[in-house]
Amino acid sequence: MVKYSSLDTIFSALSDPTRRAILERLAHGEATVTEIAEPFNMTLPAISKHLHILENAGLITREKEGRVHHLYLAPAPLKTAADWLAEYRQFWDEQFDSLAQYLEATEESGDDQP
Amino acid sequence: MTSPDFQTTLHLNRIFKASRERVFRAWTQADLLEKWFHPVGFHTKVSTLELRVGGAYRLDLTGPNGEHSAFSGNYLEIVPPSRLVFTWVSEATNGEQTLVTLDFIERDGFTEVRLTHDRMADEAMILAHRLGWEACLEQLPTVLGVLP
Repeated sequence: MVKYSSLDTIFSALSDPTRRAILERLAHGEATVTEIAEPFNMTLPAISKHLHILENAGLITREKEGRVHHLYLAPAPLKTAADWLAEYRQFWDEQFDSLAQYLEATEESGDDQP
Repeated sequence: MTSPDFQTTLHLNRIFKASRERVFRAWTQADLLEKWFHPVGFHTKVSTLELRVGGAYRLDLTGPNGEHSAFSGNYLEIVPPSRLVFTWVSEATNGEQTLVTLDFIERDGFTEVRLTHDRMADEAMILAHRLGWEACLEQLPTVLGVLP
């Protein structure tokens, strides 16, 4: 199921280095909760908390097979976040173009002097 | 699968052929902002610009076909001519607060502008308020005449 999240929820989930490391790991393929927890010097409840935040942001999905939980990366929200950054990159780039033109045009006249 | 993009902050740098005083003024004076803060063919109206910490700004951009977009926020840090930090709210941020930081670095008559646009504005706001309060509290004994 696709879970729709606000950009803030996505960015907030991505803002933590442990959670980014979990996503990096899942980018290479699915993993169980135990496998995810292994490289981190953390308790299982602490890892669980991070996984819930990632699930809430729609960044990972979970499939239960008996007592074993498999985790998968859900790339759609990552694309949403990347798109936002790309759009704003273009916006600010254009503003910089405009500022450069303005500064060049007013260089001689000095009409921006206080 | 393509490799995921885990970036959460936008960084953009540009070097301008102008002193940083001129560049800083271009960002902080309403009449100057109106001259350049828009894409080609657009018109900018600065209805509010209170250049003080906590002060508000609002920019309205109108396009050639009547299209309209508004940007607004509050100033968090003003250090002329080297730094400007403000919150940024627009339609593209879904009305949510984001944070823009501008650093102005001058070298041999050129000014580099380093722009950082971060989604984590709420946390930054909390920190700024806390630091603001702490600075106020440090001043308090002096103000009250408790300390020389």
